[in-house]
Amino acid sequence: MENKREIILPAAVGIVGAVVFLFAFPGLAIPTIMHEILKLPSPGTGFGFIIGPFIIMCSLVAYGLIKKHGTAVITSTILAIFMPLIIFIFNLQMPKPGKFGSIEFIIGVIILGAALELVIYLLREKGISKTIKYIISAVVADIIFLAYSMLFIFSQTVPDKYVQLTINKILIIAGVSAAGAVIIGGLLPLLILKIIKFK
Amino acid sequence: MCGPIDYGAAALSIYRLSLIFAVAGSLTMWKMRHFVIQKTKHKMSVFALKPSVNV
Repeated sequence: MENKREIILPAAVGIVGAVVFLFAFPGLAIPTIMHEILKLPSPGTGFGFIIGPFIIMCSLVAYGLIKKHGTAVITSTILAIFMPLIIFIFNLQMPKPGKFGSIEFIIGVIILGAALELVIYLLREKGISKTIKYIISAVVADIIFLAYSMLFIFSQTVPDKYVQLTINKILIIAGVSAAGAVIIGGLLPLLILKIIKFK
Repeated sequence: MCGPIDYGAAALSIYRLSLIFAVAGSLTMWKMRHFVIQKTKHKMSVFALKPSVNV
């Protein structure tokens, strides 16, 4: 019974996460907000500031509820599978440069979950506080996801923008991504867990 | 710019995000209602201690 819960709960969090994400960011909302409204450099800011931290948030909420190693990978994998499925079923329009729902995107999300799991495992010692543990694992996993998306997604979809990347632009994108990872990926799941466990 | 722009989608996204936060906030308040009421009562008790004036 306990094993069933360890599979069902992360799966449920992954499915709910995919639905909420696609509901909250319809169509070309992410590139418009990131590059037109906030004037942040492209490519990769949307991945680093919104998509990566959101997936990390879902994975850490599931991990915080079960507290078993492997939960983050299961949650991110389920989310990665269900996101393209929902896009296909409802024929949703998504930003083309991000290749939402493609094999590259799914692999990237699974790598994100695996990186998150690895950092959580490495920081399993009792000495580190939960907040620091969540923040470090979120930032590391998000930067790995950002690097993967730059190398394997944006280099193919927007090669002209990829070539124009300078050190300054990369630092801005990485900084914004780290900030997103700390707030959305590290602190928000702690708040959600606190509210869920509040009695 | 990374791709085509759509201000309508961006506006819809901000609206939906605020909707999600409103629902989440309401659910949180509902879950913590006893705690909130207790705290409010404690704050209100300061006024309740004031001597009433009978005319």
